[in-house]
Amino acid sequence: MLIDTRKLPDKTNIKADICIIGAGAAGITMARELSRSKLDICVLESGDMENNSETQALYEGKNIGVEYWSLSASRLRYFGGTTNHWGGVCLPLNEDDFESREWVDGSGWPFEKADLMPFYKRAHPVVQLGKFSYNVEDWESGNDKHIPFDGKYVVTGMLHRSPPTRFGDVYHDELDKAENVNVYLNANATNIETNDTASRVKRIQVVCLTGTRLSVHAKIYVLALGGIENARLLLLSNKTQKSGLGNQNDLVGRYFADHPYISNLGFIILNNKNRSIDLYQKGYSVSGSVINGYLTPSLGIRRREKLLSTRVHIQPSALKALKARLTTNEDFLDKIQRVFKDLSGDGEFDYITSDSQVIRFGAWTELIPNPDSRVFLGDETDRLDQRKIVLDWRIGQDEQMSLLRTLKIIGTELGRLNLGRMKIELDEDSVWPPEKSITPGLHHMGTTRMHINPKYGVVDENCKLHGTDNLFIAGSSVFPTYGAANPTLTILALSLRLSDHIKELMI
Amino acid sequence: MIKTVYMTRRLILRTIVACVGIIGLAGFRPALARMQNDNTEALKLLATLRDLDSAKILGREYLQITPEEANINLLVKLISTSQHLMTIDIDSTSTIKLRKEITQQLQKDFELNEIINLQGWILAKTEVRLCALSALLV
Repeated sequence: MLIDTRKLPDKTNIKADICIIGAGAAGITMARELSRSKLDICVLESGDMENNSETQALYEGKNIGVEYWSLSASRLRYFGGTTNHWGGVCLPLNEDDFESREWVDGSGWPFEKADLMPFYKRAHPVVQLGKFSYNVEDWESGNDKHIPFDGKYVVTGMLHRSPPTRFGDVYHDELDKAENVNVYLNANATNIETNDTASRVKRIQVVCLTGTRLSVHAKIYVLALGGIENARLLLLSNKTQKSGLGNQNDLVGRYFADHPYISNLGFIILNNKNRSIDLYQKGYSVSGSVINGYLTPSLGIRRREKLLSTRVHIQPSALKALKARLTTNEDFLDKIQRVFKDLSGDGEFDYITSDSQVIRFGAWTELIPNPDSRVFLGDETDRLDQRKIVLDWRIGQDEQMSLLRTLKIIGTELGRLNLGRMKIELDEDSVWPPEKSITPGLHHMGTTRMHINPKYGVVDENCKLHGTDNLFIAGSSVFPTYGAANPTLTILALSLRLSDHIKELMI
Repeated sequence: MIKTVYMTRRLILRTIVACVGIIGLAGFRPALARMQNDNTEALKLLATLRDLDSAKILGREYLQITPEEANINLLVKLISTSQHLMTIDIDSTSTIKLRKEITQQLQKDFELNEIINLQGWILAKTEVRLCALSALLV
């Protein structure tokens, strides 16, 4: 049932088995999963069914780091959360993203990708995706093949595109009809109240913008507020632990990361050989699925060369971008292309078999966990008298070197396999981070990172807050490393895993 | 006057390169030898390129950053003694076949990291040396 909290009497006490705070991708997924049990589920959502500026303004904050979108615009605070404007890109993290890598400080998840695979598979239908296959050869069709790298150094990775699923629209009826689920709209969680030792949460304090106040008492609580707000609510809940709940090791809010997309990184001249590259273009559809190929170093090379995860994508409208940049310098591209045509064919000067095309590319890259990249509470307060967040996002120099090396590997492989030539418009001396070329993915991660040791993580391997027995965290804030994959599918996989865990605890 | 002489020489060379490209070198070797002395191998290599104007621009760029290679004989030597091409008798190989062999050499260059950064482009040394030849000869 969906309930407008503003219409409840002041000081109402709500009781439930599970209280999920936040109705975005993670919260709704958990509510749906847990609704299949006999447990009573309470979901608290700050917003209503539609966006409104007063509630959205509660997301306002200040940015003092790398140029970033307005914090009130980069996420959405109403039923369905940020899925109301997400792009739909879905792919699992890489195998090595879960590993402890000596060249990535603070890396390593408490479990392997293989442990999460069953949940990745279960997550596919949640976002209305078809066959669970990330093997590009399964998606080739007719003339649409992957660029024939031999796999030693470079491979074609794959992502799926969800419609995208607007969780609020798609799952509204299901949750409304579920007898054991109550979704409280316009309900802002403002404080997590614990016992004296903070070992158990006693209740969640809730306030409506109209002034109505109420409490939620549950056996288990789940924070599913998003990558920034999860940390914010812990930091705001500082009555028992003065630095914030779960923040005894000064980790809450630290290690904030996003995925930077760096555009206009260069050109690829690709030897066509009558080959289509549609499979790499946004919106490519085959067998009812919308997929996208991208280029990335192979797992073996990533390990050998100590690289971060990176996805190199063909930029849309490459020809338009190219034409717009046909300066004297880009005339050089034309000369390279002509010489390449001469020397990459079948020996004959045959422009049909040795024709080529020009591609502009950009890349998504992994960032190294950095404790100085963080969110913290500022001095300004919002309408509910809650301190607003300050974001200090940082991008390190090692990321530049890894990206550069990755591009050089791809460029060299294009030549070794006579597939093409690459121009890289980034070098060691380039301004870094290249703020004009960076588009943040708005994937807020890392602020309540997962680690089995409370000294290094806010939550344990089951996403339970260290030191507090009945508080769990769902969402990308628990990612200890971030890979280069859009986080939604991993958020869903972790949410499904956490749902199973909670069901086991409650039996 | 000097310019006129230069243009004439360039025209002759272009004609020779074109003839080599179309017909092959064998029947013209004596004439070429008389006209170009030691440049026969260079011209044979040049014949693998059709767009000499583009090649020249790349070649000049390469020679700017590698001026020590601004020497026809040195470039021919460097190209012809590269790992794959050293197994080929350039003089007696048809242009079409030679172009295929050069394609393989370029791939070998990339494999052996014999590459160069030219205005951000990752290129094989052999291909830019070929271009440098065109810059010096045409």
